Amino acid sequence: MSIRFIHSADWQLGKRFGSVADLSKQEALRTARFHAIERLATIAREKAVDFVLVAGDLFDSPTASKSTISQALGKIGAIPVPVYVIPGNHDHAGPDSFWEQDFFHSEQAHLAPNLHVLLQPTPVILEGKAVILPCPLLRRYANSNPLAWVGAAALWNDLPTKLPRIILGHGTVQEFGSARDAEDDSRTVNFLDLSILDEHAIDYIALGDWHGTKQVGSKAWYSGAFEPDRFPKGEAYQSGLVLVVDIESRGAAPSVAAELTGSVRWHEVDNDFQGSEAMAAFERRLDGLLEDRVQRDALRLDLSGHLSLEDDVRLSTLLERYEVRSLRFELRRRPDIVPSEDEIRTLAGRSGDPLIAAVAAKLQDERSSPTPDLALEGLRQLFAGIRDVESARGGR
Amino acid sequence: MKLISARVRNYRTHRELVINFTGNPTLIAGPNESGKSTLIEALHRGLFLKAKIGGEVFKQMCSDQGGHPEVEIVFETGEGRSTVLKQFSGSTKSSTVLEQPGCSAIRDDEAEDRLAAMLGVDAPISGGGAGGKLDKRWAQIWVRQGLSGQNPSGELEDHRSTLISRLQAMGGAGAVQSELDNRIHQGLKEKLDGLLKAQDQPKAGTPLHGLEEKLKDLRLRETVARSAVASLEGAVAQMDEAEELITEKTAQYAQVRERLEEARKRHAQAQALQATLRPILLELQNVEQEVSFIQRHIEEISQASAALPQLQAAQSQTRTQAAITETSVAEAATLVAQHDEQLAAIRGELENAQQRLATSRAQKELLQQERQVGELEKQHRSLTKQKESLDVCRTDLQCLPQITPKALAKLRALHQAKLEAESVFKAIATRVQVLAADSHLRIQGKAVEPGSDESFSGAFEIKAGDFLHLRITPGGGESLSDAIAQRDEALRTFEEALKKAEASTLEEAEIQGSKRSELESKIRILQEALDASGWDDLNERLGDAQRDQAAAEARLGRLQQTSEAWTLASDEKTAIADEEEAATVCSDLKVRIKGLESSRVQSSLQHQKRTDLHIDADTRAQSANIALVNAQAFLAALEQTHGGAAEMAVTEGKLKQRVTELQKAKMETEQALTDLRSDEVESEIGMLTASYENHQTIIQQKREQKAAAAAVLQSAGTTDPVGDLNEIIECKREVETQHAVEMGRVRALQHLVCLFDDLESALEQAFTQPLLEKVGGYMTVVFGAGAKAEARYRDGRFDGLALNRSSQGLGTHGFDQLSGGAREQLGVAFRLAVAEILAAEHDGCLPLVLDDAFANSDPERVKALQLMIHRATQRGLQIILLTCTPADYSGLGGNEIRLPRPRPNLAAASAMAVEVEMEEAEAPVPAESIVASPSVQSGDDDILLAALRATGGRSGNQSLRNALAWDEVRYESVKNSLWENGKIEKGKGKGGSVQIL
Repeated sequence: MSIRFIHSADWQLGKRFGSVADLSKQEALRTARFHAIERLATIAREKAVDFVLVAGDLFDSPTASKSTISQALGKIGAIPVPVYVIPGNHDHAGPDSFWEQDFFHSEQAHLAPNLHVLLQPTPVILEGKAVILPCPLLRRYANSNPLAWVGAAALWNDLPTKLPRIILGHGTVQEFGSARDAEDDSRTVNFLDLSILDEHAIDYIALGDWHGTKQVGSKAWYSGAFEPDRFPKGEAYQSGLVLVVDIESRGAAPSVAAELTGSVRWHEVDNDFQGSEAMAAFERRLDGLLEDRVQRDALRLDLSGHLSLEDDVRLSTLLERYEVRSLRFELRRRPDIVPSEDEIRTLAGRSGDPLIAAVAAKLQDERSSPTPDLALEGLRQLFAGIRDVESARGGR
Repeated sequence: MKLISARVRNYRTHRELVINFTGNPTLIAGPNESGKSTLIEALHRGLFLKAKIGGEVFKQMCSDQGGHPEVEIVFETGEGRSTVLKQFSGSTKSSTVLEQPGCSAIRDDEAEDRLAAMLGVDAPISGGGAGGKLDKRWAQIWVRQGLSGQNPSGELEDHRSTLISRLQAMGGAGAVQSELDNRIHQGLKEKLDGLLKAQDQPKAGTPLHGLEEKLKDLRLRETVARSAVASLEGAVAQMDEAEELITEKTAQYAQVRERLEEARKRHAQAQALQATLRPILLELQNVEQEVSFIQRHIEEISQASAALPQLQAAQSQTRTQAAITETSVAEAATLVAQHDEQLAAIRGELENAQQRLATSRAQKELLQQERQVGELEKQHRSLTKQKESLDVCRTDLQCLPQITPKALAKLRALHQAKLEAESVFKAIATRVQVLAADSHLRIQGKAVEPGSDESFSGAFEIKAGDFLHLRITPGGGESLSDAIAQRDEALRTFEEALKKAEASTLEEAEIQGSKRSELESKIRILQEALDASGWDDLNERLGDAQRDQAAAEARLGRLQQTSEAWTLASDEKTAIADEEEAATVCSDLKVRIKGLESSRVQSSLQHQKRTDLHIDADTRAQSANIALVNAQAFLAALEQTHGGAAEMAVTEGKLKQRVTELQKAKMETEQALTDLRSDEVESEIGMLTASYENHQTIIQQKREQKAAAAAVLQSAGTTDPVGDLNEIIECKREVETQHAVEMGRVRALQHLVCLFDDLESALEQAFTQPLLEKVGGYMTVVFGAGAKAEARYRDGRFDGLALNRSSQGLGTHGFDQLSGGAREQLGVAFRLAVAEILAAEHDGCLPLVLDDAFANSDPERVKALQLMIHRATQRGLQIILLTCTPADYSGLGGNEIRLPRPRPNLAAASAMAVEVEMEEAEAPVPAESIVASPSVQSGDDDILLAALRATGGRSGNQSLRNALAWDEVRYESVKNSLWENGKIEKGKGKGGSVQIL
């Protein structure tokens, strides 16, 4: 019996992006996730899949707002095949979750009858297609292995022998834990111990929680988030994909292919400023990376090395430009300001402007005091002030 | 640069004037209107005004006498002596010639430019607005009349750059802040002011403020979101806890129920046993009771049979006793009756005897009463006689005058006084004793006989015959008249007293007085006797006695009617004996009655005692009888009810057998109950029931708690508290980062502004110091040691010029706060200091012109100022002083040039003016002219009129003003005043004209 399905996870619908000050950008990031459902629906249709699995964290919060729920269910209803989901750590089940609320049930019945929420750790048999073994997170803090029930030998005797068996789980496996950043606000780590499973008894393990696409066993995959929501963690990090999985028959190795659903690009740029040409090179680098895209990217900069006052002014202009254009902008580090000798001379050696010269000389002295930052920032502002006046004069 | 000489021709009032600046200082003296200021103006224009000038400026310089104004100045610079000659002939024809040592003369524009370069100014002044520019040129050292009190620090325009470069060179500060310095400084300050308000708080609308507000808001929202999440988490925890307890309590609940059921089973068994036991116990009780009844009856019959013989003996004994006591009672009654009979007889005898006693006592009292009445009547008669003689005495006394011994003594004293007064009078008065006389002797017209003896108190006349007529005036004066008055007074008083005593003489009064005394003592004796005899109540006592007598008679009468007739005694003595006899009989009888009564009481007591004994014996007899009868009846009844004793013994045996059986059954049942722990089972059931119910309650409560928590969770939903909280935390982190960055920027800006402020002050001080030191050097001459000048150089200007005399305890005063005099003095010190500094750029010398610069200074200060000026000359400055009071500067030394007195342009006009002045001086000033033009100086009207007359009574305004060398204000105000007063008429034409009316 051959089946084809989409494995996705970590939609985190309703995610707020509180670190983004601009409300319209916040909204754009939030909305991007709903658009990703549309692209997933298209893939489902084009690839003629049998069903869709979402391995947890469909919503960003166990108390998702009613408007988010309705919006999500409306989009899910447009997917042409059944959708099976389990709650993850972000939207864990339990008495405080929306899963248990009448509103959710009523909206689901109206908008997304194809959605099946699997809240119980019991096998779900899709007649003629597959057996799904869901491992839902029923509490915020699951203190035992959510996979444990699947490990019980007695279970396997009762399952249909011909249907492929798919485990649907949410949590971390083995050593890799997610390093925290602004986008990752999960406060719990649910450890999934895959070692308890008999590999031959299972055909595919659909995992969620890790936002990058990753294979973690011969049959175990993290699909990654279908719309990227954080800066990449390392070179191999890929996000914004769904997996289209083909299983020929029970016991056959799964065939896995990735499809793009994400739209926002998240860039992490490290740059070390050294030498007088570094600023110009960085400018070219950023321009090349982001081109003329507006509100389509998220940008994190980690800038080290040092810049002259002049280059620092240029950098500020550049950063302002890309901060405005980016949906999310984070400046982790800024290069140190090291005024060039010329600049110091220009400031402290202004014979025609003795007051400026004296102030600059004093600030220059203070650079070796316990508060060099204050002095450097002072020099920067003084330099920028003079530049403004002089460029205004030049402009006239 | 030093002025050597000057020649001025056709310049306003000056036809031709040559000045040689031979000494230093140069004092140019002259009265008002002598052209001092005009001369200075000519020099100034000769140096700085381009000769090719037209318009108003040119016209002002022209003289009414024709000819073109010409100014020639010889001056000396480091290069040697130069001469400049300027001929002002309008904008095209004018010429300038400059001759410099070792060079050929240069002309016009070239000469003008060269001259400007030599004077260190940009270019000669020319064209429109030249007047205003001229005012500013070298204004710092060319002090025109009336401007010395202005703040000199504001007049530096021409010399600023020179002064600054000199000060920079002197101060060693290297530089003064530039425009850029200032701009950047101000820009940073404004930026900071825009960011922060007082106490370094960010201003509303700034990014920092926005971030702080945002943070505040986020913190608040975080609290709210956390509490929302906590409330949800709390509800979850409550559900979990409820669930756990329900499970635990449900398990315990089952156990308790099991135990309760077992206990209830035991309880039922026990109850069944109790039911069996109950009839056994009941029967046992009944049978035991029956046994005890039968045993009691048997006992009672045996006791009753045994008691009967004893009861019968008691009955017969008590009956005998009762019969004996009855006899004894009868005997006692007889004795009592005998005693009663005897008593009745003796009481009859006593009554009779008492009747007799009363009758004889009444007879005795009647006789006594009759005797007393007789005595009282006799006493009454005797006292009535005494009373009558007393009344006679009293009547006699009333007839006598009221002469008391005291009145008599007074009368005697008055008589003595009268006699003494008369004898005094006689001693002083003139006494005439006629010893012998014929028949015609008359005294006071009254014929007197020989032997007459008279005294006179006043003048009196004596006539004797027809020839002898004497007037005799007694001596004594006031003593005589006093004696007469005393004598008359004594006589009058005495006679009044006599009259009061109803006597004509003292002797008569004496007789009457003694009579009165005798009568009074007689009355006193009689009254005393009468009082002692009890006269007052005698009538009363008599009445009482008569009434008592009548009462005694009545009493006797009543006794005689009720008793047998006794023979009554006829006298008192017999009556008393009768009474005593009757009394004795009565008392004997009373003694006997008392004895009998005592016996009667004894016999009566005896009778009572015996009666009591009898009743007691009789009662006992009756009781013994009843007891016997009752015992017999009881025994009979017992035997009738229970049968005989044997019958009862059989029944008793049967009953005892049944008791034994029942006791055995009871013991067996009770043992079974003990085995069931029946005592505890109920409390066990109670305890388990309570526990059972408690478990039920807890389970119910926890179900409710769970439902409530579930309801809270169900009701949540339109918002996303967890999402909210995550968002807020993220956002806060971001805002905090931004805030730190922004704060760093603001702090750096603050620091920058501080540095600018501090370093600016330091620069300023270093810059102005040399100038202020020089000013101070001049000032101490006037203001004393320790006086300092203060000024700031800021934004390309000097300001804040002030006089600091703190060391003298006078504080610091800004230039404008100073008095007019002090302003002039500080001003000149500042000008001298500046000039001294500037002189270095002019080969060490500069001319400093002071036109009437100390108008407000007092003579002492002017002397000090001379010293200041002298000091300036020592330091290379060329001082040119203009004054109308040269005497004030007598100690100054140097060269003094006197300008001639003012005179109108024409000699004729001058002569006329003098004439007019004299005429006008003699003529009375019209009152309305004073009122109409109070603001105009009184002499100005005449000067203008004189000048106008000199030009033929008609002139253009401009030429007339030039001729007068007045400024426009002065000229216009005088002209208008004359016009308003109808002295002149205004005419038309270019610039206007005036004409004398």
